Amino acid sequence: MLDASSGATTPETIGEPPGPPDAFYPRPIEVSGLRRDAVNVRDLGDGVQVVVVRDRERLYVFRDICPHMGGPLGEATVCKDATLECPWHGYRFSLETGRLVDNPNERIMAELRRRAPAGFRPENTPKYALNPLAYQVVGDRAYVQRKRSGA
Amino acid sequence: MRHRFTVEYEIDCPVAIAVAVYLDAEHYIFLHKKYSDTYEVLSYEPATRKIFIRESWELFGLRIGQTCMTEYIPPAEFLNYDIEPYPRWLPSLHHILKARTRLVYTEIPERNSTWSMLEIELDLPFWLWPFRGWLQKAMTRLKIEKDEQDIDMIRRRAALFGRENNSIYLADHQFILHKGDYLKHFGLNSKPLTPLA
Repeated sequence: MLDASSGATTPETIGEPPGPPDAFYPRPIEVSGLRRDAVNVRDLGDGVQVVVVRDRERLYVFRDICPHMGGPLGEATVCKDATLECPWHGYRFSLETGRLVDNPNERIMAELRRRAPAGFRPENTPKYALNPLAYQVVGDRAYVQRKRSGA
Repeated sequence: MRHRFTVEYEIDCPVAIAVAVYLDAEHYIFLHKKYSDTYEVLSYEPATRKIFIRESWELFGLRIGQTCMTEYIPPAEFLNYDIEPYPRWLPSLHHILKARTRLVYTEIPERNSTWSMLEIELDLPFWLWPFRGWLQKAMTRLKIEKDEQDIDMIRRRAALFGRENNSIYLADHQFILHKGDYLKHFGLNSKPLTPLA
């Protein structure tokens, strides 16, 4: 049984959201319908689409938008090192923290980047990170909170 | 024997976006991984904007592909030539068929859109001449398929960030090919493009 990301004990009953309804997106995620270690795309209602990755321990829920250029993370790849690879530019984000852990182009384009002309300052690269969404599990349903985790 | 043909259509985005997407080499082997999963820079001449590259993919356990000279002519022209098979011993059409391509993006001012014109020139031995139509179809299909992937990316970014928003390509941390030239022609202080007649 999955625990809620908040650390609360998972209730055994299927029911209403574990808190004020407006604190959660209207459509919960059916946990048993999620493919393991793969990208699942779910519509939470209110025009919000998320990607959900389920491993043995927990769920990882992110908005379907890569923070680099807006790529569709619903088409991302879950890698063996517990990262999510964006389909557009291959940027890899940690499932655990959401942070960018690898831009493979730094190696692929190393020669070009090293001799890059004016206007390229890689030292100014922002700390790209996915926006992890907190959720709470009630029975087979994961209710995703509207407030960003850690906010 | 020489066979020339063009592949032309409108791409619904400003020229600044179309050029940026072309120069955004970081997407080549990810968005277009169906066609090639490895991109290597073999040589680079910044002064002439020439990059000699190798693109390859795996087939039956063997890594095959092609090498190619690429050249950027600002603001919106791209050449590919000296295309050879990789590895060189590979039996390939490349040995008997020489191809050059020239891609030009032109502004369509009334719609702030882009006219894409790809010219392809094939040098064929006489016995391949009857197959020129088939070659043309195959190359045209490949061009359209790859452009469709780019257009999907352009459309999504336009919906998220705005149709004319090229700020990510201008950002100093973002790598794109020939960035200095791009900034000069499409940056914040650039002059408007003059549409070709």
